[in-house]
Amino acid sequence: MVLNRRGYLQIPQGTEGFYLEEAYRHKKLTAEVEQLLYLWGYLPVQTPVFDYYDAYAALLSEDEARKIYRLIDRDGDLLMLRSDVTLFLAKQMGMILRRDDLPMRVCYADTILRHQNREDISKNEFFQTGVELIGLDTLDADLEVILLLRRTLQQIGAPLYYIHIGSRALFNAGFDQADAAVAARLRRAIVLRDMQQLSAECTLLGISAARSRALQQLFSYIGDATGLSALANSLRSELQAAELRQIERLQQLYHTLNEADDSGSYRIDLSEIGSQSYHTGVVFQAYVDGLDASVAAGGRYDRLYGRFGLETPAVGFSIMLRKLQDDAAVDARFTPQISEAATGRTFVQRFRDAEVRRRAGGSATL
Amino acid sequence: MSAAQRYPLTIALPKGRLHDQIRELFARCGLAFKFESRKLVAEDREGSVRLMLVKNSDVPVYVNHGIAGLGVCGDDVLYESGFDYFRLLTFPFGSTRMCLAGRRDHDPQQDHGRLKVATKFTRFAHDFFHQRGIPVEVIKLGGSVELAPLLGLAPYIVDLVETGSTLTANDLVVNEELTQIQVHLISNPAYYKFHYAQVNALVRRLQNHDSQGDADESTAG
Repeated sequence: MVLNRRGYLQIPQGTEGFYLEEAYRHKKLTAEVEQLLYLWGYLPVQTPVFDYYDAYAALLSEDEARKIYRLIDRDGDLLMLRSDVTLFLAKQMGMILRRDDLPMRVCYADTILRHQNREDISKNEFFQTGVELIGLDTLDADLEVILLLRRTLQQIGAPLYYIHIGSRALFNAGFDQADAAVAARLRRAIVLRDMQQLSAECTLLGISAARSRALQQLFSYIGDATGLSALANSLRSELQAAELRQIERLQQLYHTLNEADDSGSYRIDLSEIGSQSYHTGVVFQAYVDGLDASVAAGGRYDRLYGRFGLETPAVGFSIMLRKLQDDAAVDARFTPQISEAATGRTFVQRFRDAEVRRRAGGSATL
Repeated sequence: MSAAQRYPLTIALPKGRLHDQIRELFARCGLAFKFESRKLVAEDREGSVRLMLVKNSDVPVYVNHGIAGLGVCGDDVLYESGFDYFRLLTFPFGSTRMCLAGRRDHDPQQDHGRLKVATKFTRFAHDFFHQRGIPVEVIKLGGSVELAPLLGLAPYIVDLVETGSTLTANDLVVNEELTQIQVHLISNPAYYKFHYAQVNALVRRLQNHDSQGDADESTAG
């Protein structure tokens, strides 16, 4: 049989292999992050590689559903490969946690498998490291998770970065009359900062021109709490009480974050409304200087666990460490040691020499 | 100066018909630049912007990968790229129309309810007609699309039409205008988020110095 050598040498879209120094960097980086997460009280979990598709189908957006890989098992059941650790984790934790286990802090570092465009393959979204704080719906829980993300970026030596914080709850308060399809279009318009489209959708919903303009200003805001306060005051007559409550909550979150950590790494960004259909409250993404996409994303999802039998709130984030590991500043800290050849005329002499070098922290080959 | 303002903003510019108009607009804004002979990267005098001259269809590629944070690009090229960008500003120049055109003597009865079109804009053509529920066979061409109906490759073409003189010269007529095409300042979303204040300042500068006075800020910044 003549093998199609070129075909076998290619890797299908949606997965990757990495080797030698690159794999070393990845493992060291992951280990350092995991060590940090353990210090914050998070315990590791490992989710299945695939699970029943039907368990998650209702939670997947049209776009997410297109990207996942599905397969059929020997009994004819439709399965899906793990495309998002949070989803799989919610089901696993929903099954094993009891109410008196809560709150529970868990962390993970797993591969994810989903289709990526050939042109988009450099986005390096194959491996998620992250945390979930399950069982708390407080502002303190939101603060803990955002501060932990900031601490994680600091720990791995990420260069300049900002964490942009928004709120799905604010979006939900603003557009509570929209059905699922309209809400998806509204979210896309806001995420892409396409205010013409947002205006058109507002018109279709029968929202007045003045309120539509107010919502456009609100959902394009990026800045600090003082600027948000001024904006909210100027728009007060067009905003609803539920929206003002969510704005106040964000301001409170922002103030406490800056009180706890004055690094200047935080921005309020109301066009951050969460990429996942299951988000319900605070949402955030981290942007690093020089990278073409966000490196971390997270938020609150208070109804996700309820879909799997455990009615409890949760908040978490995932970070794409592979995006960061090629940065020069990060790279320098996680480069493998140069191995030196042990010296000696016989094998035993070389073995003893190598042991001495290793005890001194060096790397030696026999 | 904050950390985010240490570097010039990077902008991918398309070679070709838009280049002179963009250069004039930037010059009016105090951002004059000039590409030295055979060089494809230039910077304005005050170091606010670094410009890269690339093929029109490659502008979204450079922006998507963050090599250029910003780009100047038409709706036609953006749609074909399939990536998501922020449209920060619509320029008052470069507008054109995406049209369905065919031979003057073509009888639509011969189509039997389905279209066969030759085009450079395959993604657009496919989506446009499918969204209307019209079956379409799309043939990808790299250029000289007007030849396709003349040589019998396809009875119709989908292409950009400015004055229509090329169509007329080839005995073709516009059957339908499918959409208006405008030229935008686009941004890689992550780049915009990181440099938002600097980018917004540039957008305001471009709006304020536009001689037509009608550059339209299509998205809030």
